[in-house]
Amino acid sequence: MPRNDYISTIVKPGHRFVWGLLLLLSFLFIQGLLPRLALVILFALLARTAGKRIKFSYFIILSSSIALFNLLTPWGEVLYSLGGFDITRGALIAGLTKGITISGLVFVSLFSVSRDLQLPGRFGRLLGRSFYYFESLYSHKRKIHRRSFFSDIDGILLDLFPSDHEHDSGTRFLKTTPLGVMVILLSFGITGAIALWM
Amino acid sequence: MFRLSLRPGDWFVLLVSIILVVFLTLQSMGDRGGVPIVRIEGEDESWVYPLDADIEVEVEGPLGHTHIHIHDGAVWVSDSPCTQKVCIAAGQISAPGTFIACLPNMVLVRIEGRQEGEIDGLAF
Amino acid sequence: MDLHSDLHKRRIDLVAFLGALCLFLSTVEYLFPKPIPFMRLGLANLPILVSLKLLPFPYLMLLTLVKVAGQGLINGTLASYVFIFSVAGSYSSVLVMYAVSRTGGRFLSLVGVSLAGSMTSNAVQVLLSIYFIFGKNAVMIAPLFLGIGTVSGLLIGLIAEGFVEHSRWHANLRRLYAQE
Repeated sequence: MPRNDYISTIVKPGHRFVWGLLLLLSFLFIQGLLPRLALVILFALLARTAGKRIKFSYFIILSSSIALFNLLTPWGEVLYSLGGFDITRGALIAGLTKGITISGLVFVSLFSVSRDLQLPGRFGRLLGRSFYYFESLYSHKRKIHRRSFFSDIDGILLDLFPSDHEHDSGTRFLKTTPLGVMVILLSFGITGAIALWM
Repeated sequence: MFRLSLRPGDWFVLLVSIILVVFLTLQSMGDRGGVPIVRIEGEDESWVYPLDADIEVEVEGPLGHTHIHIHDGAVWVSDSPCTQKVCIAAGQISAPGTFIACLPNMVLVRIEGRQEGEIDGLAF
Repeated sequence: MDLHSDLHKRRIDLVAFLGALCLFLSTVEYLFPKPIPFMRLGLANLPILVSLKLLPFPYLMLLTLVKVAGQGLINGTLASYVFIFSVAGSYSSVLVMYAVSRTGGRFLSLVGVSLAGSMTSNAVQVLLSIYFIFGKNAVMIAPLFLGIGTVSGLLIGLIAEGFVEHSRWHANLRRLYAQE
């Protein structure tokens, strides 16, 4: 379904998840607006290489609305005055920082969470079986037409459940390659550079 | 395909939902006031802070730095390079519409808010 | 709850399938145009609504977990605030829907249940986003989202009622999983 997830070919889902969590920690050490922006751009690129579609408009709207609401509480030097409304420096910077941080958090999640991430225990197996059913539902997707939407779906449901098939979990062969390790180290290197230069 | 046969319980929930939405809409429209703001005007720049802020602001004027405090819902000038120190003697202000001025150093501190012109009518 | 009985296994299997249906419906929802970025119609709630009377409460909670975890994994939002909002919204919604459907009895159809669930979910998510993301100034948008919640709750409820009435699959399930 998604576009090519290049990262999945070089990093195992489990390692990938930890990688993401560690990169998240960088937000604790990097505070300023510009450094965070650089960091968020890095995360967005990573999310792109993970094949995730990033709708630019969504994140622009998200960041600007967060900034906008923050502007409603004025703080600091007045940069510009629109009618009765003052745009203050402190509120603007804090709002933009918050906005891009939130977007950044989403980007990290997008690239670090992979479909094949196995959750532990009985629940992990239940989820696995659910994904199996999900895939079989999805393969029948073409049978659905707008007009007869619900009867189409009903038909598919009747076909698929209850089922007599034995479900096999079909584990895919996933590995972290040396290239993957290099990419991971590179990302930490870039993060460190951002922290030091700015 | 959709026959609108709602049962009494459904109508009840629907009514409650609509009432809730209307109530919240009216609430948010009437509540424009909020916290008053402190506007500090210097020679060529100005600053705005909410009255419930806790901060010290230094404003640079032709004579030097005027030191302004905002704390606990009140504003006052703690230090100023003017000769008469009228601004410091003015003490604390906390009501919308009031102000402190240091004319020699060209600093004006004003509290603005919704209640500014409405002191006559409203009982709180 | 006998974890090894055949009934339990069949119920778990149904939970898995319904969870998959939730995920499937949320991908289907992406095909519909979204005028407002945050608000979705909530088609993914249909399987939960439709199974309120099919499964005992613990299984409904499990189904909700499958729904939110599955969405988190597929969309890749598991490690972000989106997931936390999703958990809060979905769980509060399920609790309310279950309570409402049990106390409402014959006086309530899935429309009322869906409305209650939708309002709860939206209210919780709006409160969370005001508190953690947008700040107190954003309270003014609360009525907007709750208004949308009312409309979507109503629509989903009508769809759910219609489905339960006309679906052969659902009739089949009622036969196989008849509760109590």
